[in-house]
Formats: sequence, C-alpha cells, structure tokens
Amino acid sequence: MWARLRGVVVRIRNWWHDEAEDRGLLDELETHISLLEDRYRRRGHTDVEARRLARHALGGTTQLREAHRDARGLPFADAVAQDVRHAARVLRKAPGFTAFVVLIVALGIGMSTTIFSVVHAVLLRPLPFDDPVRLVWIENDLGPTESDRTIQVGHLIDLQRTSSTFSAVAGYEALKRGGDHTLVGTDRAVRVTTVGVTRDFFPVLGVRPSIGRLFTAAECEWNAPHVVLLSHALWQRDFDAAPDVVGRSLTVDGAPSTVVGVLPASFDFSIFEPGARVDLFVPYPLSAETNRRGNTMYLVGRLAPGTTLPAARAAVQALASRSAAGTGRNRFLPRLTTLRDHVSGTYRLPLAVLAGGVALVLGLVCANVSSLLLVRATARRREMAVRASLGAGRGRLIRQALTEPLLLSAAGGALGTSLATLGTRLLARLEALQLPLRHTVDVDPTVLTFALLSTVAVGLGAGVLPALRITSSARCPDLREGARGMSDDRRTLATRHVLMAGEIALACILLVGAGLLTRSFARVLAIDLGFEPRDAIALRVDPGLGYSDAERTRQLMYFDELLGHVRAVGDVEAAGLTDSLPLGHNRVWSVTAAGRVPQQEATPNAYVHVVSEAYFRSMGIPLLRGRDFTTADDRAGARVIIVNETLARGLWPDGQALHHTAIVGGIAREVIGVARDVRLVTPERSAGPEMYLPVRQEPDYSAMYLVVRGNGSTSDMPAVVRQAVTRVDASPPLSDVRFMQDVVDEALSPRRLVVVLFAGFGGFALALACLGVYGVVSYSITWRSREFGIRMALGASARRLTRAVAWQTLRLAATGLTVGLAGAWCLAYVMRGLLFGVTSTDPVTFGTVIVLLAGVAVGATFLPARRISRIDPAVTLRDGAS
Amino acid sequence: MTNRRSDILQGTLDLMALKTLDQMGPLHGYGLALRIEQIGEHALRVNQGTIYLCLARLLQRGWITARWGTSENNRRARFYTITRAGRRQLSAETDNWTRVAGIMGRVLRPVEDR
Repeated sequence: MWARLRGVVVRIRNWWHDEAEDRGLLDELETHISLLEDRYRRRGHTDVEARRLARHALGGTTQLREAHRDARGLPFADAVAQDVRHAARVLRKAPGFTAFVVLIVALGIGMSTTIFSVVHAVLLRPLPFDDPVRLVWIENDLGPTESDRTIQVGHLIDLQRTSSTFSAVAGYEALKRGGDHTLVGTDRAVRVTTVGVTRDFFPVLGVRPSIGRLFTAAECEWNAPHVVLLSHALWQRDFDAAPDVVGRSLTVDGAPSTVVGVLPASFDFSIFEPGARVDLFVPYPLSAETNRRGNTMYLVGRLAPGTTLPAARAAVQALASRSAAGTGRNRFLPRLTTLRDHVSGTYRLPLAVLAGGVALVLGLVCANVSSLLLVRATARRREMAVRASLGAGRGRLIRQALTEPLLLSAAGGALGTSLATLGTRLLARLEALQLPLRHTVDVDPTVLTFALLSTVAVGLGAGVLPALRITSSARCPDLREGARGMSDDRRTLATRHVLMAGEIALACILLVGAGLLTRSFARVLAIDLGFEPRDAIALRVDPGLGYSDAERTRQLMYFDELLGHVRAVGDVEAAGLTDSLPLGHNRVWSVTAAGRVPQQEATPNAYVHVVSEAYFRSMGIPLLRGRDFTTADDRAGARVIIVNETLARGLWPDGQALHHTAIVGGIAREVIGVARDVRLVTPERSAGPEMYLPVRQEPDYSAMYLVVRGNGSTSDMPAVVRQAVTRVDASPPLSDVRFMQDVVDEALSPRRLVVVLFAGFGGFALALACLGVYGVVSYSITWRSREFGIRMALGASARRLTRAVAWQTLRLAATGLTVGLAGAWCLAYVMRGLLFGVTSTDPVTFGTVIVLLAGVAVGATFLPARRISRIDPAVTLRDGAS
Repeated sequence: MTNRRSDILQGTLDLMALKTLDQMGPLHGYGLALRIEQIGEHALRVNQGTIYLCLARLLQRGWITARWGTSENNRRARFYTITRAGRRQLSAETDNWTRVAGIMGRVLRPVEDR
C-alpha cells in the first residue's frame, strides 16, 4: 500500500521534472555507451565497430526514452497535457468565442455556487451545536403572536421533572420583554440587548464558554446576585477582547452584575431569532415569581438516547393535558419540531426554488455553449478527419474533443468561484437580510467541491454532443479541400435547432418564475401597511426601567420634555411615543366589551400598544373615527382607549364602537377613537385586533420608542432628532435611529432576495435564448447561402426564402415555448407557497412571457435573415464552382 | 498472453537487479548490466537499455535509491543502492521464488522419477 502510494508520489514528481529526468537518463545512457565502447575496443574492435556494437547492445535510445518516460512518469497525464495544450492553442486563436463562453459559464457557476453556499449553510450543514439532530424546539401552538407561542415557566419545570423523553430541557425568555438595556462598565455607557436563559440552555446546546464558566444553579435562583455572560461580539467590541474580563463588575440598568464568562464566537443567538443581536445573557430563574409572568419562554430539548420525535410529541402532549387540569396555569398546546425545522423550515421552499432555478440556468448555459461548439466542430471536421486517418481511435478523438469544453468550463468555473466568493461575502454581511445562519454563509470545502463538480458537469454537458458529432463525421474521413459534407451539416443544424428549442423552453420556465415572483413582490409592496413608513424614524428613549410610581412620574416628565424639544425642531411634523413598533415585538392582552358576557374560548385577545398623543400622526396611522389621545388623558382624567377596526367590529358588531366601554385588565375605558388596522407581524398578513392605551394612564410597558415624522425636506433627520434628544439629557446612551422604511424592507428582505435573484436568472436566460436563436439562424443562412443563391437564380424571391427560414426557426421556437410553458406550469405549482396576490396560473405573467419570448424569437430570427436579401446569386454560384 | 510473459520477465529482471545490488553494493547501470550478463552466463540476452526501465520501477517502489557520481572513465553516472525496504522485498521474493521453483521442478520432473 505504502509502496504504491510512494510510487504515485514519485511518478508525479518525475512527471513534473520531466525535462531534468530526461536529461539525466541521456547522461546515464551516454556513460553506458562509452563504457561499452571501451569494453569492445579492449577486445580489439575498431572505434567504428565498437561504437556500432555498443549501440546495438544498448538498444534503441528513442524508444527507451519514451518507455522510460512512461515507466517513471504519468503517461495518461502526458496525453492529457498534450490535449490541454492543443485545446488552449485552439482557443487562443478564437478570443471572442473563448471570452464569451468563459463569461457565461462563470456567471452560471457563480450563481449556482452562491445559491448552493446559502443552501448549504441554512439547510444542509449541521447546526453549530453538539449532536444537533437530537435537538427539539418546543413552543405553544395557540396562535401567531408571541404570547400565543410562548410557554409558562411551570410547564417547563414539569417537563424537566417528569419527562424521561428528554435528557434535558432548557429555555430562553422571548425577546418581547428583553429589549435593550443600559450597560455601564466599559469606557462609555452603551445600549445592549439582553436575553434571559435557563441554567441548562447552553449545556443542552453543547455550547462551552470561550473564557470563564456558565451559570451555576445558585445564580439561577430568584433574587440571586446578578451575573452575566458576554457575547463574543460584545466582548470584542466594547471590552477590547480583554482576557481578564471574567470577574469584572458591570452595571446593567443600574444594577451591579458580575461577568462570569464569554461565549464562543461560533455561538450566534440569531439562529433562534433571525436578525436578533444579543449582547448579554442573564440567568432566567425557574421560580414561582417568573411563573406568574405568564407565557414567557421558548424551549429547546435534547432527546434522550433511543427516543424519537413522535414519541417526544406524545409524551409532552400527555404531560400538557395532565397539567391543564387544576394548576391554574395558562394553556399549553405543545408543538414540537426539530430545531433544524424551526430554524430553517420556512426557508426550505424559497431555497429549493432558487436551487431549481439555478439548475435551469446551468442547463441553459450548457445548451448555449454546446450550440456554439457545434459550429466550431463543423469548422474542424477536416482536422479530425486527418487525425482519424493517421490512426487516432474514436475514444482518443472524443477525449480530445472534450478537452476543449472542459478547459473552457474550468476557466469559467475558476472565475465563477471567485464571483461566488464575493457573492457569499456580500450576503454574509448583508445586515438587512433576515436569514438564519446568514453570517455562516461562505465558500468552504464542500461548496468548493460543488463548484468543481458543477464545472465538470457543465464541461461534459456542453461538450458531449459536439464531441460525438465531431468524431462521428471523422469516421468516414473526407479530406477533400472544401468538401462540404452536406448531410453532416444538416445533422449539426438539426442538433442546434433542438438545442435552441431547449433554450427557449428553459428561458420560458425561468421567466415565468421570475414574473410570478416579481408580480407577487409588487403586490406585497402595494400592501396598505396601515402606517406610512416613509419619512418616519424611531429610536429607543426609555431611561432605564423602574416600575414604582415615583419612577414612572419622573419618566413621564422626561418624555414631556423630550417631546417638547423634538416637536420644536423645524422639520418635524409630528412626534409621539410607543412601546412597540410595527413588525417588531408584540404582546396581547384580553379585552371585553362592557355589558356583554364573552363566550368561553372566545375571550378576545388584542395586541396592546402603550402610546402617547400624536403617535398616530407620527407613524402615519389614520384615525378613522373619534379623536387622538391628548396630554389631558392622564391619571387624573377619565380612562380612555383607542381600538382598531378589527377589534371594533369584533366587540361591537353593529359598527358603533365609539363611546362604548371596553374592559382591559379590569379597568373600564371609554373608546374615543377607531384606528386603521396595522400590519404588525408580517407585511403579508393582517394582524387582528389591536388596542392603544395612553402612556399617561398605563404604566405597564418595558420599552419606549420615540417616533418622529419629518416633512421630507431634511435629509439627515436622525442627526437632528438625536441632537434634540441629547439636549434634554445627554447621559443615557442612544440606540441606533431606525428608519421605519428600513424596518419594512428588512421584513421583506428574504422575499426581495428571492425576487432579485430569480429576476437575474430570468434576464440572463432571456439574453442566452436570444443569442441562441440569433446564432442558429445566422449559421443556417451562412451554410445555405449557396443553395439560396441557386434558388434565387432560378427565380425565388429573397422574401420567400426569408419566410422559409423564419418559418422553420419559429416553428421550433414555438415547440420550445410550448414545452417551456408546461414546465413553467409545474414550477409555478411548486412555488405557489411563495406567491402573494397572484395565482400560480396568473394569465398576465404567462401572457407576458409568451409575448416576450415570441417577440424575441421573431426579432432574433429576422435580424440575421435580412442577410438573405443581400445574397448575390452570381457570387455564391461562382464561389461554389471554384 | 505476451503481456503476461513480459510481466514474468520483468519480475525476474527486477529480482536479479535487487539481488545484484544487495551483493555488490552501489553500481551504475552499466555495472549492473555487466554483472547480470556474467551471472546469466550470457543466456539471458536482454537489451541492456531495459535495465534502466527496471531501475525506474525499483526507484518508484523505494527499493533502491540513486545518487549521481562519476564513472570509472570519468563520466556522469547514477549509482544505485539497495534500501532496507528493498532487502525486505528481496528476501520475500527469494522465498517465493524458491518455493515456486521447487513446485515447478516437481511438476515438470519426468513421470518415472516420481
């Protein structure tokens, strides 16, 4: 085994140093001959005779050198190298063709490798945890809101105590109550995002701290001294990666906390919540106190050895129905999925569609290159015939004919892989893209292998038809100068026609896909969000937490001053406060109409917003009826509420919500206004019932955002607002100012990515199909020019000939289009889950694509066909005679 | 068929070269060819050039090493030396050869001698 391996290494080395090795052998042989000559001379032969005898004894040097090269080196590699050198020489002579093919292959490989790297990172690569296939995500299945999806602490305690299905279950506190906090302890105060995790959270995942340790049981008790774990990013950014950070005391929201450890760079919390950037992790105690907070947790469990997901489902189901009786806890309707499904399940369809699209693009590239190579194959028929008659076998000829496309695709693949490296880097850093594991998208060895394989596949796919064509004609060599090989040309043309029809079919599929996605995206953009993101900005302003009355009063005074300053700025149209932004985190409370007994099971829940006066104007939410809150709606005034249309309809079906009384948390509030529905969770889905409570009457909020609407004349609204805010109080650190338009864009980012990429595929496909048609038609005219000349000499008009050529081409194009439409129908069916506001058989899209492709085919046919009219029968006939 | 016979021949030549290098110490190609010719009592007439193909094979296997030096008539020549792996191979091949030779001897012996 080792000897053989060693042999291969030696062979490669010798092959590489071929010239030196050959010179060495020559030296040896010369010495050998001279020694033999000496010997023969000593035996009494003359010089001439000695020389002859010596040469005879040694044997033929030339054969020996060849045999020696084969014995010491890589004979196969020699042949390949020869082919490659030959192909490279041929390609250098056709720089235009080479550049074009390399470019389209590079684009094809670049796109497919980029898509594959995303698929690999999001769907294929194991999650960056220990034995990730045993990790299970557990959430509540009561509805779409966070309150409906989270689980009460008591249920988690039960699961940990009784379930033998899991070797461990842990959880984290849903971010709605996390939000950001003030961190003091570095050189300047910063705003950080904190999330509470149970003690088992990191051990369940198998995450080990890079410095320090995880939380102890004692630290996870209620009222234990505060401790924190730092994220790797925060440690690097704000602690200069200080190795002695463990044990340091920080102040988080005014409370002292000790750093116990730093998490590794490989751990990224955004796996659980795409787009979330968590800086600090704190213990979340499992106690009666946290249980009273209601639904707060998302859970992650590790399946015990030998357990399956269905078994775990059944076990948790049984436990949930047992604890439903008599514990007084919130309902628990468990929904268990693998963690992988939770993280990337929703991305499976869009990524599959993109992967399918890119496969079609590669097919199109193959067809196009193949068609171009066929033309060259015809031109090189004589060369092949010569080689065949000199004794080259068909296998050898095929290998040589395949070398050229493989060399082209290798160059394209190398360029494409560089493009993919750029593309993945761009994607990985695209902060605005909400994609789980986005930062892990890269070109790793697996992706490189994929690039290599697809390069070889494109080379073979594009080369195999021309190679067969080229060599089959070489079998009956036709060496006559200028021999036309009519039947052969006809077969080449037929092959190219089929390829052209295939190109049109592929382009049709891709264009329909691109069209449907683009129209869906246009529909999504046209959605009435219920608020006006343009010219609105938002930033966190709450100065720390504090629930006492005195604290709240101080906060309200601060807010008043803040609003006063901001509203005084010239370009500010309106400024208001809210505790939750649209498309951000949300919570629901129950609400009833006074005087009406709610049916059981149908206690209406509504999204709660605690807002100030002028919030509606600053967010651009229309008030349909009634009035806005005023500064007079404070603790001294009557309790009031504003509801949205859906809640108004739900509680007062007669349509008269105004001045009725709603009961929220046991307090009766008069409805003073009805607001337009707002898309709260995603832009695509209407949220449901909402209610707005005045900040001066409702102290239960955990964050506060300042929302400012500019009049559109100032370009740098954030700076202006920032200045106004710091003028009131410069001490609290400011969070980033966010444009509401960015918030919306971010929510649409996965859809936008799919649309942009697919539109790119479609455009590329259209261009290739166009070139394909054009190429075939002009080839056929060149080839048939003599025939046309004869026919014209016999009286056929150029118009009639043009019509004949066009008819032949367009009939095939129509066939391709028909096949393509069938394929497109299948694709549309598969991707109907990605569509919004258009059906998968959307006639507008299909119609547009048909018209577009038909137009392109006609254009690309008649443009070169005009050349027929320039054919001069006299010239073509004379050329043919020579 | 021709192929297989040349395989056997190749193997024989390799074995002879190894044996010779083991006995005589470092030799250049001419020396080796001369020695094999003498031992073979000129019965084994091979093109002397083939010895270089044989040496290339042995080098690849790591059974011999080569070093440039000067021949007795002051020319550049490569001197080949058997390695430890080469000696191991030699002893294994020798055993094998003796066994095969014994068997072949018995098989080919005239019938009445048995």
